[in-house]
Order: sequence, then C-alpha cells, then structure tokens
Amino acid sequence: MRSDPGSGGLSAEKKSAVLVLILFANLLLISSQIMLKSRKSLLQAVVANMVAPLQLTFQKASDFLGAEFERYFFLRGIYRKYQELKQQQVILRIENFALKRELGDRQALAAARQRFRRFLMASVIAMDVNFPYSSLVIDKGTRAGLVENDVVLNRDGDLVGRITRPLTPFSAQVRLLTSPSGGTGAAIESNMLEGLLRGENRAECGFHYLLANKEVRVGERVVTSGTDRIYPSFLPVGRVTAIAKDYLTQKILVRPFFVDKPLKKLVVLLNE
Amino acid sequence: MNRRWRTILLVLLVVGQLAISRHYQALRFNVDLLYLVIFFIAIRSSFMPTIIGAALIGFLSDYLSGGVMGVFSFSRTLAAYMLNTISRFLDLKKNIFVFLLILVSLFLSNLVAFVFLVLVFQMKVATGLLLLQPLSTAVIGTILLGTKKAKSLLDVS
Repeated sequence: MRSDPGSGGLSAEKKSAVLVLILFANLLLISSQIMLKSRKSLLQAVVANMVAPLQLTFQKASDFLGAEFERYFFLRGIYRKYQELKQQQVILRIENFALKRELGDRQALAAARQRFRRFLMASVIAMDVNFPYSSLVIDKGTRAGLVENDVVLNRDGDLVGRITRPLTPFSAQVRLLTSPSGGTGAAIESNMLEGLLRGENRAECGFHYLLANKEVRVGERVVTSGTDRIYPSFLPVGRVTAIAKDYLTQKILVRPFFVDKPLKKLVVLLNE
Repeated sequence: MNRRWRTILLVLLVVGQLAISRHYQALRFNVDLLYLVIFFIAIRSSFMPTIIGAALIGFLSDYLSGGVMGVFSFSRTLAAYMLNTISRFLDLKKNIFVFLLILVSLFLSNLVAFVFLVLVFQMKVATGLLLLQPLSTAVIGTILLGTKKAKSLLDVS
C-alpha cells in the first residue's frame, strides 16, 4: 500500500517552508544564469544591490573608525612634537636674528667702505636716559684713532652726530644732531636752500635761517651742506615735517633719520 | 521482493532516459522517462522524498537538456508537489486517470519550464516540449502502470 503522501510526519507549515525553500533555491540558480546588459547575472545584480548599501555603510564606518584611531594615535605624540618644534623655532629665530644682525653689519660696512676711506664700527655702550636726544657713549676711543669732531653715522649712513669730549682711550661721547648744543650746516636737497640745523632735545630739530623766497614742502629730504667744515656735504640728515613761514625767513622742523632707527652699531668716520 | 523490482524499474527508467538523451539525434524520440520516476515517487512516497527527489531528478533533466540549470528542477518540483497533493484524491487503478495525470502534470511542468526558457532566457524551444513529450510520456507511463504486474510491483493502488 502507498504510504500517506499527505502527512509524511511534517506539519503543513514545515512542508510549505521546505517547498518554498527548494523553489527559492532553484530560482536563485536560474537567476544566476540570467545575463543582464551589463554582462552581470541577475543574481549578481540583486546581490550587489542588496550588499552595496551594507558594504558602503561598513566601509564608511571602518574608514571613520580608522581615521579616528589614526588621529588619536597621531594626537598622542603631537604635544611632544609641538614642544620640540617650538624649541627648534626659538633656536632658529635666535639664529636668524644673529644672521640678520651680522648681515646688517656687513652691509653697513660695505656701504661705508664705498663712501669713505677710513672708518670703524663702534657699539653704543651708554645713553643718558634723562636726555636721550642729547648724547651717547660708544666703545671706541683714542686708542682706536678717534679724535674730536669725527663724524658719526648709523648703519644706513644717516648722520647721527660727532665725537666730542670726554674722549678716553676706550670710549668716546657722541653729540647727537638733536642735542641743543652746537649746530649743523644743512640744506634742502631739492633746491640746496641752506640753513642751520639745531637740536631741541627732542626727536625733531629746528632748521633756522632759511629764506622765505624759496618754497619748501613737507617730506623733502635734508642733507648736510658742508659749510660748517665739520660734516662732509650731502650726508643724509632727515626729512621736513613742519613748516612755519615768517616775514623774511621760514622755520622748519626736521626729523633726523637716525631717530627712527636703532642705534646699536655706529660708523665713525676718521679724520674726515 | 517488490521493493527490489521497483528499484530496478526506476533505475531502468533513468538509464533509458540517459540512453535516449545520448542518442536523441538518431532516435528523435521525445519522451521524459525521468518524469515517470518523479511520478512514481510522488504517488507513492511522502512529502519530503517527493520534493527532494523531484528537485534532484529535475537537476538531472537540466543537465541532460543542456539548458539552464534549475529550470526543470523548479518545474518538476512544482509538478511533484501537485502530484503528491492530488494523487490521493484519484483512483489510479483506472489507467485513464494515470494517463491524464501524467499528461496534464507534465504539460504544466513543461509550460513552466517553457516560460523560463523562452521568455526569460529567450531560447528557441520546440513545441514538442509542450505537446509531444507529455503525450508520449503519458502513453509510456500508462503502459508501464497499466499491467497488473506493474501495479503490484509499484504498489500503486
């Protein structure tokens, strides 16, 4: 006799599940052989479409985690690296500063050599804080060949003043252009209008005895005239900052160039 | 004893189908003896052997047909399920029912395969698959089951 084909010891749900499973497996097999226009099988396309979002999500997540881990490990050592770099930067800045200073000295030396035959470099060793625009002391004296009235320039070749007493073997006083003692023969560079430049113990000097018939404009350069027989002619002195006209003369204020520049190193012209 | 003869008969059917497939160009004999094996299993066995057997024999049909793997397995599984379900309501002692059951179930099974092969895979399939093969297979199946000896061997009743 035929065994009961309907039951087989399985429930209806299980039978349906088995049937569906087998049919589904067959359909999968069939779909793996259906070639699409993209030369992919239908199964490949379906699987790719199903897996792609998961793959993308996994890839994004793994990329994110990887990047965060990398950043974390990178940041762990970054503070120490930062300290090292900062230290290196300080060293480099100091080195850079020293090189710049040396370069400046050499440039000043070269510029002075072109203009004057004999000169020497001197460093400022003292300055009167109460009268900073009056005088200063340099580290060269009679032993280096300095004599009274030697001309003193800054590193750019701008006129600073002249050597005055007290003059010792190893130091000398420099009377600045801005000192109220004495005066300097000077002229407006554009028209050679001459006058007397006199310091007023401040950053600007008075330029006296200029005739009013020649026009002077603010900003014009002032150079030495050489008429005082102390300073050589055409040394750059400063720039006109203010003009006050009188009946016959005009009073002009001149701001020396050296006022706005550092006075660490100076150039002394010997026997000019 | 019946069990051994039944096994021999089923093996002979399989071997016969292999021979027909191998010499189809010469024989031009369009019959599916493997479907008869499925039929015998479906009307005799329980659900699980029927379904699994049909799927495996379907794979063999796919292999022999040289077409798309899975198509006949799918259609034969469906046919076996149908046979397994409705055979209990039919009196298979009457040969007409055997004939009609084989004819109709194989036609439907081949129709499913035909749909896949023609519409999905756009293969050129002879109409003999739908008409001639179910008819010839049903005739042979009825002959094999028509004799009392065969019925007793297969324990169909």
